[in-house]
Amino acid sequence: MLNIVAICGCGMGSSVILKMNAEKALKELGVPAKLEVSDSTTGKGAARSADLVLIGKELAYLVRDIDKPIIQLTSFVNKQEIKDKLKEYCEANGLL
Amino acid sequence: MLYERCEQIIDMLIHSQTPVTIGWLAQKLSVSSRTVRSDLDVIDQWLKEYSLDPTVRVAGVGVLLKDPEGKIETLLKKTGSDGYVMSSKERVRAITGWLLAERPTTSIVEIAEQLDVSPATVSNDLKKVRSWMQKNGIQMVSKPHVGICVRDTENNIRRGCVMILREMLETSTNQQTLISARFVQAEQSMEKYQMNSFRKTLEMWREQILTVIQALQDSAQVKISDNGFCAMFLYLLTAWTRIREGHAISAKENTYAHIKIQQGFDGGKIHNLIKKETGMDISKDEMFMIHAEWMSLRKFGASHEINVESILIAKELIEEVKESLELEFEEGEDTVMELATHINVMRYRLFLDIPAEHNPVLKEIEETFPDVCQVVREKLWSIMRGRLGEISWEVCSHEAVYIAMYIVACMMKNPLEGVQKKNIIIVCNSTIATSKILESRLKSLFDNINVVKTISYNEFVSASELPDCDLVISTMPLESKKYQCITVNPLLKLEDVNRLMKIFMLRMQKVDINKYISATINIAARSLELKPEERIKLSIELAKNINEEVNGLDNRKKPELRTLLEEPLIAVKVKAKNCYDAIQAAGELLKNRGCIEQRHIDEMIRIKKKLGGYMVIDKGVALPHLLAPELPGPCMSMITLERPVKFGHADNDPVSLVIMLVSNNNTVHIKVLEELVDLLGDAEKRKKMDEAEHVYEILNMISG
Repeated sequence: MLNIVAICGCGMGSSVILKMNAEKALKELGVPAKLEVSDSTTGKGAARSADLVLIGKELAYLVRDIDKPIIQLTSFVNKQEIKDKLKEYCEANGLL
Repeated sequence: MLYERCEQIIDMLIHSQTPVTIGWLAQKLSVSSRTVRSDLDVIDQWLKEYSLDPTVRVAGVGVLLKDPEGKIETLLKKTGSDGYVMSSKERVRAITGWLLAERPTTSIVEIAEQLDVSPATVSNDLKKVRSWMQKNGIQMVSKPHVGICVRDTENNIRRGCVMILREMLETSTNQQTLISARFVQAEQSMEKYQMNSFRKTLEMWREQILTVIQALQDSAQVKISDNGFCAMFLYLLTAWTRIREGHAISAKENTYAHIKIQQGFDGGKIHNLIKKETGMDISKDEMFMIHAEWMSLRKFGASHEINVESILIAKELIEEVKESLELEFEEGEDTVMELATHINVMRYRLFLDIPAEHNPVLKEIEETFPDVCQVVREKLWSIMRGRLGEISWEVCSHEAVYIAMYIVACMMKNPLEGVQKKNIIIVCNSTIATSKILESRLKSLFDNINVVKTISYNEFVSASELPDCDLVISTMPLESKKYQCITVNPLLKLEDVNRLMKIFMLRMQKVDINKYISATINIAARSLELKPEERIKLSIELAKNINEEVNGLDNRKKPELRTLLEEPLIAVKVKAKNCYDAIQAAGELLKNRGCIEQRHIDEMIRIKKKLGGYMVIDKGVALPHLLAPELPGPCMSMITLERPVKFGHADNDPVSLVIMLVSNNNTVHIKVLEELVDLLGDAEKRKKMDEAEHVYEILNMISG
């Protein structure tokens, strides 16, 4: 089970969108995963305990010193972008 | 409508110059003074209907009724019983009654003559009579040249008589009046419907029937309910009328081994009493049926009367509910006994094929706990059919709801075991005392609370990591993005308890709602001594409220984009110099609608300044958002900009569409976001939105 955390400014808007789209994408890819959302204040802590971090490009600096795979996204809405990036990650880590 | 004796009394009163004593009236009419008093009540009621003054009764002097203008006399003439015209409903009742008890065989022509209507009308009425008989399982036969008649067993005919009497007397609405006037009105009704044999019985034995019911109550040392009282009266009235008319009942007592004459029913005594009062020597079978009827109406029995088999049936039913519905609850010994007592009495009702008393709670039980009712219904049907043989499905399924009520009460006694406890953190200003008070108060009220930690405000604010919890309860205003917080009075006032209860229910959506109802009941039961019935009533009220609450919550939980984005919350081609202007403009729409305050907008601007372009979620789209737990629900606004502005995002600038989302919770608006993503993902729509000249165009896209 892949533990993923989606981070945004306050954990209710973009990160939720991100979580939804990522969940869909992972389901389509057939990768079992557990997604959580987090905000800018707790994101760092949450990122430490996750396997993978999803974050908007603009907030990527929040987790720059964390030693975890991070996927940066330009668009939270663009499902294809999320899917492609997740696929890439999964393939690289032998999950697919 | 008045009956003959009342008319006689009025006649005597208005023609007497001086007050007349009740004793004198009683002597004149050869009835008891008590009957006269009841008659006078009926007369007063009748006078009231015509807005006339009632009789004047002065103790020690007598009764006076003045009719100076001759109004009463005129009325009497006009409403004489001969001239009464029945309504269609009344005709159907009358015909039914005649067929059952008054005429062995009759014909359409005969009925038409009697009612003074055309044969066609009677033929029409007979259709309704036939369906009534069918509904009540009574055989009715009609043959050309022979006539119409009822051909059924005496048991069924008597059952039919009791039912039609109920309708004629309208016992469901008139019960209290009937009892208070000792069924004097029954005579009047029997006269109206021309149920002569019944009227005759009433005339002779009305007080005697009441005496026997009293004796039954005395010998068993119980009081029966008003419903039961009424039903027993009608049963005895029917039985005595039928016996007087020479129709014997056969009880086949031996075939009903399970219906035993109970202790507390002194058959010999009642037999002698009836003989003394009426001169009738009632047969053993009749006594057995009176006993069964009486037993079926008694609400409570003494525990030593309970059949062991009833206890076993009670247990079997409870087990079935537990198993089929996968519920866990402890049935107390007392609940089993209560239920067994009910089952004990129920057997008689099933045996006699008569439904239990009507109780308004039943309908609500049925609506609130349909699954429990269903399980009990099927199980009870199979158990009782095995024991009693042929029984009526309708009567049985009605009883099942009663039994479901007992089981529901049982479920409420010990509900919270096994339910996951809710973790809470208590925040207090550093004084240890207040937090201790709050903690013990919380624990005493809520069984399902687990206080993880008690910390000071300072500790709460500065701590980087707090233990996981479901709720933070604080004695001072507190805001947290991570935890749901609630501010309460340290002494936990009633409104605090209410709020907490709501929150706990809201947060426990997956768990069986009944358990939370019972949790609430437990709280209430601690301060008030609640009887089982009151407990159920209260729980039904609560279940309703909670269901509404949860339904409301569900709606709020998943509002749709178009329900959130109303017309005034959308604006097109807004002028904005920069991103802050744009946020302010979007916020303004919400502020004007009273959804949020300026401080919320300020906070979003502050976040924007602090976190930069993160809120730009897609090319040209910004989603400024904020979590504001104090709001009642999520709200949203949408603006398109006349000229795109920069939000400071490397790839997605400039922004032409700003969608603002302020929510009280981080998940309630998921559905809206989902819809939004779909909308924004549609390149064509996205383009149209930018080009929209009018709010309607956007509204169309949202609802489409």
